[in-house]
Amino acid sequence: MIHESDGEIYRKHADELVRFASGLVGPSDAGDVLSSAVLRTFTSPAWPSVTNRRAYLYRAVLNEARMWRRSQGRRLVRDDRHGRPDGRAGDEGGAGGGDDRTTTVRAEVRSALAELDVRSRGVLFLSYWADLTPDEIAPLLDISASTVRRDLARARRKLRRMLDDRP
Amino acid sequence: MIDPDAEIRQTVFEWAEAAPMAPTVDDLEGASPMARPRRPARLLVVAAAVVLVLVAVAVVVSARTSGPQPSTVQSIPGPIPATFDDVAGQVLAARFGVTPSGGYELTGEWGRDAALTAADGTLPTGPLGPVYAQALDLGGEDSASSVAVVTVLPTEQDDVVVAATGHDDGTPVTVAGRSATYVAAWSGDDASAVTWQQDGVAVVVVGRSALDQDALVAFAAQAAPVPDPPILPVGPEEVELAHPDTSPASWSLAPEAPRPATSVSPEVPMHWNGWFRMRAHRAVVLALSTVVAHGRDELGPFTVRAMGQPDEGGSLYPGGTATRLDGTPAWDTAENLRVETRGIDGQRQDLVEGMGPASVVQVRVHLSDGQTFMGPTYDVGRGWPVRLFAVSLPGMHTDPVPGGLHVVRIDGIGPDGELIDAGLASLGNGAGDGVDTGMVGPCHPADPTAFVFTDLCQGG
Repeated sequence: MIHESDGEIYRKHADELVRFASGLVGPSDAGDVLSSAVLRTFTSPAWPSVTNRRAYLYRAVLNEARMWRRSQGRRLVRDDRHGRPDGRAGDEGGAGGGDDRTTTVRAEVRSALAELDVRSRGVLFLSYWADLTPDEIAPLLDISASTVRRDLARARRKLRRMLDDRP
Repeated sequence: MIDPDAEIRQTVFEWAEAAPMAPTVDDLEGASPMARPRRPARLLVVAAAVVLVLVAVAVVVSARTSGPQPSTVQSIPGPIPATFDDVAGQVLAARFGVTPSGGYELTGEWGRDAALTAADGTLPTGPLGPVYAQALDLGGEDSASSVAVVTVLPTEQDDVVVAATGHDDGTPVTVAGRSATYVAAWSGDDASAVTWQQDGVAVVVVGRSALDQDALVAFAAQAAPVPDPPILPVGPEEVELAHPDTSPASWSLAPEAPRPATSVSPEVPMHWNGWFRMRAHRAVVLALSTVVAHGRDELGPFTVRAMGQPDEGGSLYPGGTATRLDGTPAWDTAENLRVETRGIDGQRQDLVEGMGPASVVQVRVHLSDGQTFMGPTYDVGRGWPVRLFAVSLPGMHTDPVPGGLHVVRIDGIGPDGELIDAGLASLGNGAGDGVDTGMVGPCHPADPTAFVFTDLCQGG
């Protein structure tokens, strides 16, 4: 039984958390990952004493995604390589158009980013989608701002090299 | 021209926009293990069946062989202290550091090999040695403290540049007649860099992003003429490997993006110098923490054996050092919350580290909830009069956010199990950075030179 006040907190952050989960594990499993994380959180003995509950929930989702990724990571990579993160064939060209070259580049970008570890995906999501600075991301994920910057740099370098190596 | 930043942004937006509707509270309650009837796992059913069969066989055999048997008295085992096996049977030695005199040295035991790079260790470093510091100190200008020079192995040049600037897309420049590369900052949070190779090493001059290209190249020109730039010795440290499948590896440290100068008052300007922080133990803590935090994700449990300055015959350790009046080292313990190691199962773990006299072969760590953990100490093998330890403890914090559990006491145990040292932890280090330190002293109340915690020694 979920306590009423916990339900309130969850409803307040559910949308951002499910997007975050989608960024970490893809949309197919985002709901399950979020559910497990939230249930685990609400039954944690530490939960009543937590002060920053939003940050706690973010980290809980990140941890759950890590566990999920260990068992399901290969499928995620395969999904991302073959189109949208949920494996569905989608508008590969996105807003930038739909020519073959763009489509190929988009698929390669997805593939490169899909191989990032869960934390790096989380950092990318919060940086690009939520538009947070490294100093804002750091406490949310319980890592240092320098680690955030390093993850961002790695992702950019990986992508840069991938794009440079293209024929 | 493809813009990587735009590509990343578009992909991340796809992730977000493809997200499903969030489960409702009712959905969550439906998914709760308490609300959902669970089928016993097939493995459990099989295991239960096997156990039943074995029990049945045992009963039958026992019945057939029963007869007068000599009686034995079984001792009831007492509580078994949790010994954390953090080595997992494998050892990977690593040399780690950047100093003119041979570097800080980190010898680590890692569960398995990992693809750590220079970017995994970020050491806040300023000009690399007094000569460089003098050459680049312009005096009274903030910009002077925003420039760092680091020399690294050529193979690590790219990683260092990326760590500082955020990317590696450079343009050619000339620095004091040398061909070099200028790499602009990727963003306002990053630094710019000028880099080249000379005398078998790579030199990277890192500047605050506010510095323009000409200014940074001008700074770099002052560093270029310095002969024999300091660098770690080439080749991994000779360490006996316990596992045949592991191999030595070494890393040097990447520079942290420069920080702005700090002043305590307008009348007393403070020129922040990374070199000072590098020499201070605090910098080593930061560097080690960064490595370990990354290694955690790839390696799981770990043990750090030692860190020191071999050329000077001394030892350093992340928690710092203290010397008693008689010159022997005092213990120093730290609950390093920054390390935030995490086990394979996602359980939170933290590092307790320190050093003590050579007579201590084990440490016993007491947590605030009454748990105790035993961990080994290590002889560095360099003639240092200390043994060191760094034990990662599971469950120091509830997952995923700290729950307040902390180290309250630590004991030094001798080879025969005797209590040699004892002391308190969680005294705080005064920096307000979440790192606790403690004092541990010998259990010899008659020794006037020691930190003595008589009550702890008597309590064993």
